[in-house]
Amino acid sequence: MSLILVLATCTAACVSAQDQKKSGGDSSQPRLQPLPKGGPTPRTAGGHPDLSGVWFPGTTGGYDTSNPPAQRQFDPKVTPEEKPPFQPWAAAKIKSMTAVDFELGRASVNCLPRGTPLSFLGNPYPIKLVQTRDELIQLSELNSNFRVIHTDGRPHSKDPDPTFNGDATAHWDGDALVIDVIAIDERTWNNFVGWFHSDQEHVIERLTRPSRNYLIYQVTIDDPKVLAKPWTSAPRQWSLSHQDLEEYYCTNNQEVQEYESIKEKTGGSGK
Amino acid sequence: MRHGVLLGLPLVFGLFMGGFFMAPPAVAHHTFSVEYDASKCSDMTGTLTKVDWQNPHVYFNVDLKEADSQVSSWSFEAVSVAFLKRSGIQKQDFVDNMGKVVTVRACLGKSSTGKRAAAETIKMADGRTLRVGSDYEHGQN
Repeated sequence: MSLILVLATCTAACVSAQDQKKSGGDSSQPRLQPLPKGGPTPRTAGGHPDLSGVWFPGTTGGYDTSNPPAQRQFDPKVTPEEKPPFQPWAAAKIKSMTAVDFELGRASVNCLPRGTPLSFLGNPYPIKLVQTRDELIQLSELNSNFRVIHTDGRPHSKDPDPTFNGDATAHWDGDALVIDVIAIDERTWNNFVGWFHSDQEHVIERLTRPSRNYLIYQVTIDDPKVLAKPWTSAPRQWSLSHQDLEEYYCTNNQEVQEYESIKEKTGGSGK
Repeated sequence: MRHGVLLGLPLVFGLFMGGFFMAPPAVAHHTFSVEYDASKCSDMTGTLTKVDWQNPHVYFNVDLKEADSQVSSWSFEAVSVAFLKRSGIQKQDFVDNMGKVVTVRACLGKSSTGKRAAAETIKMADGRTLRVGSDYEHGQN
């Protein structure tokens, strides 16, 4: 059998194997495996990469409760990521936060949207991208959230009000979609350990699709009030799925009362 | 291994495959170790009485006999509806076992509300074991 035929067989088999997963929750079920590249980048009639698809964080195109590490988006040994370069006052503020403060400040604990860019940087749930000629529509399963991004390079809105997703405009830079975002609600954090931001935060996201099964997300965050210099993430991998998004509304949140109770009991350390 | 047939693909891409990554911070809904104690995990057997099939977490209740022989209702936290469904677990799996004896592997909560734990697995009356949370006691969360 030629190598090409073997690869094609593996591509089809690998994808269909993930899709046919019917575990019944059996804890002895094999973990999901990383997807192969899956072939060349799909393109639109206009020649741009087509970013459309349902994407899971990590490499397996799915989620395995028994294997959360498979959802990790990058290997720091391969693509190291610098720590955020906080200004001294910001670093001191974060250092003063307790473990419970980190939890009570998290969007997810409060059933708030993770916003931009944490909806890509820190999200275990799938995102569906729908690319039209002039828009990229981002449907996030988490909190059944959506974002519509114009891709015609138009300027930002004049004096936009802050929103969780921010005011975004995008253009193509070769095969990368570059999304420029301002006016992000200050209730969003950029990680889960206190990285707050100011009203001057400026986020530049880059989306590429190097092959059929993979989407790469990379972001640069510039915040002259909080950071000493701009920070750029490692390239973060998302992988293709054929699953539908599930509805997700936060209707039974018990976390805030639990953490308030723990704060009272432990003084905030959580120990 | 399957990726053995992928010889000749670019090396940088190959480095991303064949294993899971190390440690960027967890992206879970919340940090397990602040709310629950991974050193206090055990099997708890009792009668399944309720399931609350909602987000951000599915919760189910089990009547457990305490050391003083009194029966208490314990609340167990599972992962979200979407994660359970993607693992092949449906609400019906709980409904079918309502009123039956189940065994939950779970780790105790830290809050003052007590009688609360994070479930890793639940063994149903028919003998099936369903994974409803991560392997918290071995560091997965």
